[in-house]
Amino acid sequence: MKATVFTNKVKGPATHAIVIGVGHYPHLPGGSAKKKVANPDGMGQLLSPPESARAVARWLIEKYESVGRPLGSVALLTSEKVPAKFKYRPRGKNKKSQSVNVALAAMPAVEEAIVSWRALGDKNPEHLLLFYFCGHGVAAGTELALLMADFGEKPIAPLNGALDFRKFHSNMEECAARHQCYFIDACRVGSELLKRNQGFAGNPVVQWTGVGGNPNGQLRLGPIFYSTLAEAKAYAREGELSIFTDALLEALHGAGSGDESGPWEVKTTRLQQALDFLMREASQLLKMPQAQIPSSDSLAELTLNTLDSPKVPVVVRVQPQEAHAVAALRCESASEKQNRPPWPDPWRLSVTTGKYSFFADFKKKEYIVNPFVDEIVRPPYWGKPLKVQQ
Amino acid sequence: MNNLKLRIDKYLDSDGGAPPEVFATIYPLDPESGRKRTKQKVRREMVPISKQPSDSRAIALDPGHYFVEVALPSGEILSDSVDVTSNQDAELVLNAEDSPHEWLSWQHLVGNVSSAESSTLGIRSKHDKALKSLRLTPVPQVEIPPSLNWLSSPMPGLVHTRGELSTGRGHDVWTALAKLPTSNRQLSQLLNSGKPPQPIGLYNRDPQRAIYRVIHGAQPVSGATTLNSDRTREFVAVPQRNSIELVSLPMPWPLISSGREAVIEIVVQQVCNASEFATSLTVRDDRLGVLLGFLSSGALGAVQQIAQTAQGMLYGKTMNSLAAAAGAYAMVGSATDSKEHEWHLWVRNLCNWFELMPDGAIQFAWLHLRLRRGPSDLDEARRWLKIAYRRGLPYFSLGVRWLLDGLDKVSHSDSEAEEMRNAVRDISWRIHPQSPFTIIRLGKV
Repeated sequence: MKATVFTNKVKGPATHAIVIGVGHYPHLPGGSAKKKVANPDGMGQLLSPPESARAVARWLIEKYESVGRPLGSVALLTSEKVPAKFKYRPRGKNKKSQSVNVALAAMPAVEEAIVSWRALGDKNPEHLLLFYFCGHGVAAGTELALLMADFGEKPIAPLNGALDFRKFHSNMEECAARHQCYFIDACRVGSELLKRNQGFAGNPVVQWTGVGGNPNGQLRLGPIFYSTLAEAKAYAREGELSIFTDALLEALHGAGSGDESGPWEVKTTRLQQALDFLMREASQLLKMPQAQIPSSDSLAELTLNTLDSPKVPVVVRVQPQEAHAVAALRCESASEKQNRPPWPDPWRLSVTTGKYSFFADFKKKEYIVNPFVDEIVRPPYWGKPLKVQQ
Repeated sequence: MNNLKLRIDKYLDSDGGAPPEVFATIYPLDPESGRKRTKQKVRREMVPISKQPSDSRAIALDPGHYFVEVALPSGEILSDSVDVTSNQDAELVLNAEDSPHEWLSWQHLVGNVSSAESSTLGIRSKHDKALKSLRLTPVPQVEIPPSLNWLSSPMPGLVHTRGELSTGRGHDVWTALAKLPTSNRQLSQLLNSGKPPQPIGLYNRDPQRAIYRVIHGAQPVSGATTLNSDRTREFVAVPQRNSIELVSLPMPWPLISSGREAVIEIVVQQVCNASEFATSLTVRDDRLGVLLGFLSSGALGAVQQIAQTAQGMLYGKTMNSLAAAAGAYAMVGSATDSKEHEWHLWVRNLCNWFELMPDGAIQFAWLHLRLRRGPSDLDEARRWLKIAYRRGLPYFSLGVRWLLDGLDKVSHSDSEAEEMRNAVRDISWRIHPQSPFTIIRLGKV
């Protein structure tokens, strides 16, 4: 089955994406296969990755905007116990919802999809290539194996079902497309498996040939965004979007944008700042044992998508905490009004950029002055306390 | 035109001298829409981090509404808007999160330690249901060592002399480290040529973490332990339960402002599991220490700032070669075109003039690999990667990654490069991936 779930004829530079979400690992505990991996290193089945991958693919098809590089194609591969169809609504009037089958995210199909994706990238140096993976990852220092559904299928060579991400990313330097961006939503917890196999971290799919130069004298920019710092676990709520993917979509939707050069654009620099905030917020809300700090290891700056009116995360609380517990929030602008009832945690809103007034209202009159602030809300987030006078 | 007086309000433990600075981005805004005013450019200015109002930076601006934003290396973003009028100066103070302790202020600024509570989020409540669905389990914590071990007689290969390198008699530190026993409790002693290492006492601690301060061959400053030696580089071993963390110290590190040596702060924290690294480093440099913090988080957000400062670091390379190397990583990593630039020459000089610092050769090789203008670039990359390997451990951890990636690319049909690649790979598994400076775990994890 072909992995491509969406194509759009674009004249000139385009964006091509490959999206992979591996939840069902037949050869890990809880999987459907009889033969299991001898030492699973604590890994098991995941529910979030297929949902997360579908959400990313759906966002790309339904929401992604780029004046210079419209979406050209999306390849989607998933693995789950009961395979679900991928549903999306194409843009344009009178377009009906589509429901398509999805290729299995096992290495043969992943390899085929990457080869096609790389070939698309070779057609035009101005293309933007996006790579997204959600699933298990095992790491050893700088090495990272992304595990596909057929991980452990061959008991004597379990890593045949893995993508050697370091080499894959490094060797994609030879692809003509000068702009590439990688999102890795996976654990990077250390694994003895990689160390025991002397650096074999799976199939890199793309090899280094040593021929060719930089098209048009442009160097490859290929930033990587990891869901967590290396040596750390990535977390997800069962059956929901992973924490990183949730943050990524919110960042792409506005939190990661800026208007420094005119239109609202999501650039990799800003995206990192937004992800940092959103992941720290999630870590604190869920009281995780370690902050889910996203990291990137490239110093490249490139533009991903454009937005008409970005949505900005807003966090409001009243100080002191006793006042917050009994306060109600009003958030008002010329075109937008939102209310929130009393709530033990800070209120979390999402608003379009602009000027807002924030009010804390109290039913009883134990606090004399209703605090309010007039503020300009811009990405990546706004968050200040409303201080009451007692 | 009037002045905007700008400052970031945050306590920072000072060693004397000017307060550290970070870049502020100043957007001229339409006050109603919150959009940047067209035809007006965004400005970037260095602003001080200080509790003292007198330290504020005065920035001349046309009258109008402005939005000021500062990203700290810890990831914290500070922002506020301000009106600049034609008849008087305006003032804006951006309040940063407080450090858990004053003595942890530098570590907090660069993101090595976090606050108990975020001032932006202010989240306190427990979400037991969410915790259950995440299936989190507590893990045992590793103790903080009472002292660190200074390698006063480092094993051959850790520190080279110019003579060793020029005559090819340098020891291969990559294979030597990989061959160290994993179960030996005396690893620090083995790394110190069999001699007992010298202890570096605590500066301060709380239940979660401890700070140790060191300074290179100078009079003690801010309670730092003086490391007096005539060697060209220094190492410290941080003992853990079944392993040690070998820390390459970024010294000598002369401060641009005063010329005196910077205090290097080593923080050791309790970790959630044995596979996590406990150690991180900060250079208490008012000009460059903050920017190094951006490198440690891998945050590309500061690339423009780093690149700008990097030029300055490169041009002043004879004064602080390690700072110049930090700048060169940013320049080579953020290069976008294969044209000749003046800074290419500076990278070459860094490689040729500072042979005891392996990073320069790695950066020069990577420049060739990235430019890829023809077969000669690949040949030059191969040559410099091999030289870099022989020069020993890079000061910066990014150098290990670049050396491995580079040797991967040139090792086809070159058995020597392949052997080197394999040796670097064996060490790359042990590298602290978040530290800007090289930290290697040795022993059993």
